[in-house]
Amino acid sequence: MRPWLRWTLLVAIVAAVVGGMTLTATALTPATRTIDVLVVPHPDDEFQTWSLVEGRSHEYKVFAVMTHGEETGYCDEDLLDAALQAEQGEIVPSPAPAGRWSAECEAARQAAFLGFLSQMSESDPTIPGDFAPAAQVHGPVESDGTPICRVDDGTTRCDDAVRQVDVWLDARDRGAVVFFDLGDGDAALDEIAWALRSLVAHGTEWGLPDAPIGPMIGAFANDGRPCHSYPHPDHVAVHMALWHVDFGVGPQLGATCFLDSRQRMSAVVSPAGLDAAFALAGDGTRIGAHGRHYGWLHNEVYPLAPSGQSELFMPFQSFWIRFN
Amino acid sequence: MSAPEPTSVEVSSAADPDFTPQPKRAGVRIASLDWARGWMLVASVTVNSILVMPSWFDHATWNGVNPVDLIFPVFVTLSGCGLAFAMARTVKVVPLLRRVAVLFALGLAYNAIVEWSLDVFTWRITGVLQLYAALVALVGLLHLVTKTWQGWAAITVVLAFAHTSLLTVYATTCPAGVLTRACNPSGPLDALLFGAHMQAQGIAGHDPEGVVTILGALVSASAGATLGHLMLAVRRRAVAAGRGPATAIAPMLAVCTGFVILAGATLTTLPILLGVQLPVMKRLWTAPFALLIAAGTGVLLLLGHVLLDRAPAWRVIEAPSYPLLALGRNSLLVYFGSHILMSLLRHPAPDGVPIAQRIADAIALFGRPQLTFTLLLLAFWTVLAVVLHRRGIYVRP
Repeated sequence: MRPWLRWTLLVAIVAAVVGGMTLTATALTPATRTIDVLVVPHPDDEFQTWSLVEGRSHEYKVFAVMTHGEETGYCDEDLLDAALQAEQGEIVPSPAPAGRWSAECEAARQAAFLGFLSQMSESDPTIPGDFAPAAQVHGPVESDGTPICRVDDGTTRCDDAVRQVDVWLDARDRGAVVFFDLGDGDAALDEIAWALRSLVAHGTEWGLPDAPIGPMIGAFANDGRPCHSYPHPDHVAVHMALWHVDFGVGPQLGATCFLDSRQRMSAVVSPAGLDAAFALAGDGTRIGAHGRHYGWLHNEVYPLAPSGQSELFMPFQSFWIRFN
Repeated sequence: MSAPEPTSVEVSSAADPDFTPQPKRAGVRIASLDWARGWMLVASVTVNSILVMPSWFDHATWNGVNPVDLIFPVFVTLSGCGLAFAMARTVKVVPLLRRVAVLFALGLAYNAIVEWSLDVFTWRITGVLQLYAALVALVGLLHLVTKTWQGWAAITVVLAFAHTSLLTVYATTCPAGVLTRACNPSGPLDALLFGAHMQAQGIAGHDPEGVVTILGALVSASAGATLGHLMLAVRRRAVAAGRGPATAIAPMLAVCTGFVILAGATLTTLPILLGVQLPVMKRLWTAPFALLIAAGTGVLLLLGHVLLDRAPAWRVIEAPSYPLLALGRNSLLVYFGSHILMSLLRHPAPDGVPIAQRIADAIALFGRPQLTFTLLLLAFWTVLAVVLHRRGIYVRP
């Protein structure tokens, strides 16, 4: 047999065997529904994990938001006025924020988050986005000895209210949003661990499906590596919790810099997903969900890293993986 | 049992199984493979003798690589190198198939002993010897395609990407694209082919093992065959030019670097394109895992080649290397024999204490039962290998 024929035959056999194995394995795998938990420090960080969120029809997505985002300066009237560009398509926050740490600020941030998901679900039907106007409020959840507090402008609150959980369930059973209230800017490792343990323990009571919990995926944090620097304490606390505490579910991931020595996988947000979140019209009008719903939280157009990881929001996303 | 195994060859007379090491015009026997196998066996016997294995040292429960995970892949890589030596000239299909059948049967018997069970429905059908048998068959058949190091390098590339394709495409069906104990192709495939008991989601310790792992191990074996054919080719040229083993340094290091680059390519192409994880791990014998170990094994082979494969040999190196060479010449016997022996010794005595622990306690010197026991086992297997080597007895199917 001629050499080229031998090689052609070899490559064909390898391709056929591997293709057959792949198809067989995939066909024999039962479509088991799992719950993915996206651990988001603030209600605008979810896109940092979007490459592992979009287009996954078998996975019930729970956005576990650790804080209400109430510390943002954009809840102050003067900053909000300077940042909001309603004429550019940015949605006016509702209710009108009444200053940092105010109840209106919290409600506006929660509404922006739900609005973002709702708009994203229009282009990606696997995303939960059909929410009731009002949350189901659960709790106060037992603290298990962990002090659960939030610090508002130097005042520490550890009352029952901070252990209440606001839950929005998607009417089409695609996922849910679970808001904890651990304090914007002061969410600690122990508090986040408590929140995630509570989610695992009480999820079904809160209306989540009775399905195995798969991966827990934390939003981006990075310090000292040549990507976008983001050592925000709440983000770092999420990373610490997911890195150090085994919640006994699926693997635990954290979005990080590609050059992080712990980095184990990378994925890219689809062009459609990117467009759905960040598209601008020719005149700069915000079309994408991120620009529209979170525009009031940034002075200019949200910067998006074109290809690398030079901005907080990036299509090329990398993750470390623990407890697998 | 047979005459000296042809997995170690003398360049000028590869077909002569009774060849004994002696300086010749065309060179001396390539001893570096036996030397490297000898080191691997020292590590294997030592690791197997550990009575209470720390978790950080034992096989990784799933993801990651612990020290024990390195032993068998090194063995497989060196076996690929040995098979390249043996099949450099010709592939005799009938003896090859006979060898495969014997290895497979021995493997089943080996598993019966290790598992301490005569229930065939609980046996590891694709246990380590059976995996080795499959590799012998596949590497033999692939030698019908090519017998050059360049050809084997190409096969290694094809197999590495084939295995990576299987894992990464399947991983797109897993939550977050992460291959877990519950979500990997070995589960459905091996359960279908060999029975549900073959996949216990990693809990059984050895699992998953089956077709996915065999394909991964084939990457190790083909990388080893690449190294073997390269050594032969370089050696042939060096002998013709009257040069020594140092001639192999640049090409061997280049190929080892190539393995590292290929490992990087498998990690950064398909996984990122598909948005999934390709772990470096033993359990699924992923291509980057196989290739990184092959690179390290290649460096070990090169070191042995430079030290030993010269005429005349350096006496100061040759004499102390003799036990390693003896071990390496009977690598199948020592590798699997030590596993079987320890399997038997780990069974509890009537008082519930493992026999191995009893022996270790009884022979402990200086209050060090583990150290004494390990040294005793190393001495036993080394002496046995030396005696067999002196008598020219080599165990191979």
